[in-house]
Amino acid sequence: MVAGLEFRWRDGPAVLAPLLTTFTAVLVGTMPLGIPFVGPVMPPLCLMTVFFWTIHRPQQFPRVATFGFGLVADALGGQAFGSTALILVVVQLLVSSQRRFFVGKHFALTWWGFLLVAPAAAMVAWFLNAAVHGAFVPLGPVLVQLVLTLVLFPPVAWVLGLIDQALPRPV
Amino acid sequence: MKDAQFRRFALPFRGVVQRSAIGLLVLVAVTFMALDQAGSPAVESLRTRTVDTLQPLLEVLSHPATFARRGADDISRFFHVYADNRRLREENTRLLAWQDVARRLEKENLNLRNLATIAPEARAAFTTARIVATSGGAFVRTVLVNAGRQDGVTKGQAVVAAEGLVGRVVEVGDRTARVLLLTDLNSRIPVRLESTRDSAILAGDNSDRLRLNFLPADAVPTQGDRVITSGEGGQIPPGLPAGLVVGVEDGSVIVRPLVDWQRLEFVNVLDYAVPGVLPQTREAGQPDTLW
Repeated sequence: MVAGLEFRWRDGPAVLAPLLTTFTAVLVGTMPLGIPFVGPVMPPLCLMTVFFWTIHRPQQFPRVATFGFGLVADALGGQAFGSTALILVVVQLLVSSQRRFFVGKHFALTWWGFLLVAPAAAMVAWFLNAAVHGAFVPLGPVLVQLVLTLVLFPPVAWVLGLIDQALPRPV
Repeated sequence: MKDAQFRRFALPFRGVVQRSAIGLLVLVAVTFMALDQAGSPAVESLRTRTVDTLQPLLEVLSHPATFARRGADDISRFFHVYADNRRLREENTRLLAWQDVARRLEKENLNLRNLATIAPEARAAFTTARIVATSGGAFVRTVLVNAGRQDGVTKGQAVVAAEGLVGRVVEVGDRTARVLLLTDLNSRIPVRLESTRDSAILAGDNSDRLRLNFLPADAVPTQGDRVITSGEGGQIPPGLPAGLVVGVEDGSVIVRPLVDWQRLEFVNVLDYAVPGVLPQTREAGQPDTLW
């Protein structure tokens, strides 16, 4: 009994890491950072964490959790309610179906995969928000946000990779 | 052994369940969006409850961000301290002269009002709130503040900073409220040109600039004209500065907001109601009087 409890406690951080980092990404994405010109083009950090953990720890990242984080992001950010949730779930579905192409390969391949997924996600978000708010927002900030998202993915993935390597894989 | 048998039995069903779960999640997301588009109170309630629940966490997280920003500002100001000092001394001399003019005009205005027996203007009270979250993205321009229904905040109230109008409240939870900024695509504020008194609608388009819609055809706005709220509608007090005319582009008058969005930290939510026209909006708390 005691041995079992010890085992679960040791596994806790490894099980919770994908969920906690994604929740942190959602919160950081809405923090009033006050950095000039960054607010309107703040990259969707949770898209990066969902992409990364779906490849590296899919067992610890249930789709219901992804959906929940998406709803929280929409509630905090004021976007069309459900749009981020829908995008994250679809991204997770797509990435998990192609996971074998990324696992154990060079990071460049993972980045290339993200280069395909992020623009599609940005365009879907643009369209869904236009449908719900009744007007298309200018594409300029959306494109700047997309470029920032693609450029920031390697450092974010590097940090997540450190966390991934530091934690044991739960049995 | 039994476990292996169960797994062999359950394996085909697992895929079906997983596919159904994805379909269900997609359906729920689409339903939420459709309800949001229709302005459903249920979705609004779910959103405000989520934000209210996370409010303590947002509050804690926003402090380090503010601390870091203030630190960066302090370092930047350190290098400009002599120039700032000189500028502020000159500004102070100019403002003291203006103070004399304002006092004289105030007295004159009061005397004229007494002579003409003009009905007193509605008074506004305010609740000061801190910004705890922003929309963080390209699609909406909103901020969340840490004052809500419990503090007397209601939908439609004007939100101002020291420089001028910030936006208006569009969603209210118990402890938080969402403010639609002037720059948001859906923001429409009734305004006037201060110099000519021409009425118009100040509209945002998700950029850093605003446009004046429905300005009379014979109006001639000039660069530097102040744009102030007209008070039409009864919820936003008249005379609040909203922006400065910066030019004309494609037939539209372009206005620059007065508020520095990057340094926006505290705002005042105005509780303003014209007596006898709209019911008093305050439900709780005793706010300070603004004027």
